[in-house]
This record gives sequence, structure tokens and C-alpha cells, in this order.
Amino acid sequence: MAIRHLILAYVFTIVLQFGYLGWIGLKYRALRRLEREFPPYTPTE
Amino acid sequence: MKSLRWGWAVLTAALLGYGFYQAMYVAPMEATMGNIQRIFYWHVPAGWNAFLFLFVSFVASIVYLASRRNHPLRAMGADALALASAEMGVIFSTVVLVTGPLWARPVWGIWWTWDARLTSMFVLWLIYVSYLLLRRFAAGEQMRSLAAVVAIFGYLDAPIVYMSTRWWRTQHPSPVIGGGPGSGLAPKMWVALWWNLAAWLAWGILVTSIRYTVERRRQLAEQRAALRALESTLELTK
Repeated sequence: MAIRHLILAYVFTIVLQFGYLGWIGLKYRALRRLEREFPPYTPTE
Repeated sequence: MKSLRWGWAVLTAALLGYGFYQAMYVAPMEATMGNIQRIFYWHVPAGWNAFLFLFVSFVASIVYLASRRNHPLRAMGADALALASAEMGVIFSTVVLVTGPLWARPVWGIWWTWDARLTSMFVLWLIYVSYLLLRRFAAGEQMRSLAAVVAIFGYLDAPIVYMSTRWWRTQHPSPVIGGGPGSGLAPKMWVALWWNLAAWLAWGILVTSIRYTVERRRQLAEQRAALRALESTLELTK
């Protein structure tokens, strides 16, 4: 049981941390869509 | 900035790999608990990093409240940092709350007990989950101010979590650092602990910086969207 719990703890830590990073990736994709719709102002003459 | 971030990511990956090697292969097996004690090398760094990132959120929330009237740009940056570091803090707290019971079941024979350390840590997690829910389901300046107040008062629980094993008799083991006579670790265990602490700290800084950048750019894009809506309203009224 101890080894199984040790592996589970490590796998959970990695999955949660990388899952969070993946979720930020999804946020970034949504942000790119928003930025395409409302691009930064460029100075005009 | 991009190359700096990539360099940091490579360093973080190397540290995580070496930390894993130290924890699994170099650190000696604990005499009474056996291999299950190795959870300690993820559990403790996660706990310390949770305190650190929630502290950053606490400070950024104070900066937000102090500067929102006179320095709106600084305030928005502080708000983005408060959010990014609170999310990272909640992720680390979740690791603490899950790896703890996974260690406890084979060692104590139970998954959970409502002792002072476990309960206060659970309350800290609940407070910051509430903070994130507030930010998710409300909007506007009032929400940002209210969220900052929650982050500031919520952090008052952190010293209670830290001191709980000193103030009360708990099922949770006594502190490793400054825990009085008989506390401490074998030298090789310290090395493994420091490597894992450095690795997860590097990870936390990397992920928080990415999250901060995304949030800051989202704030700016939303400002442009609001400005565009205002412009079109003014054009209609001409």
C-alpha cells in the first residue's frame, strides 16, 4: 500500500501542476481571440 | 523576455528531474515509516510554496487597495499579480491537502483527522478557493476591491497554520525546523528537501509569471473593448 500511495502522490502532484499549466494555455488561446478582435491601438498620423 | 522564460523553463525541468532523483534514490529510507516517508519531499515544499505564493497575493492585494485611486496602472498590475499568485498558492495547498492523507493512511491508519494543523490548512484552502470563485463569478472594480480584502484577511490564517503544531498538541508531526530537541533530519534528507524546494519554487515562479502575463494582457484587451463600446455609443448619439 505504501509504494502505491507514494506513486499516487507523485502522479497527482505532476498531473495537477501540469493540468494548471494547460488551463493557462486555454486562457491564453481565449486571450488571443480577444486580442484579434480588439487589437492594441497603433498611433496614426 | 521570451528567451529568459525559456531558459527558466529548462532550469526548472532540470531541477524537477534532479529533485525527483534525490527524493527517490539518494535520500535514505526512513527507519520506521519506510518508503512512504518520501512523500515528505513533495508535501513540505508544496506547503512552504503555498505560504510564499499566498503571501505574494496578500502583499499585492494591499498594493492594489493602496494604489487603486491614485495609480490605476500600478493597481491593475498588482491585481493581476494577486490573482496569479493566489491561483498558484491554491494549487500548492491542494497538493499539501492530497499528499498529506496519502501519507497518513499507511502511517496513522486514517486518512484525515480534524486536528489544528489539518483543519487550519483546510480553512486556508477554502478561503482562497472562495477568493478565486469570487473573482470568477463577479466583475468590476468593486469585485477587485472585495477580493483584495478577502486575500488580506484570508492570509491571517497562514500564521495560525504555521504555529498550530507549536501551539497545540496535534496528530500532525512536530516541525522539522526549529521544532526543539529531537527534531530535524538526516543530512542527506535535508539535501533532497532543499533540491525539491528549489525545483518547486522555480516551477511556481515560472507558472505565476506566465499567468500574470496572460491576466495583464486580458485586462488591457478588456479595456480596449470597453473603450470601443464607448466610442460607438458616442458615434450613435452624434
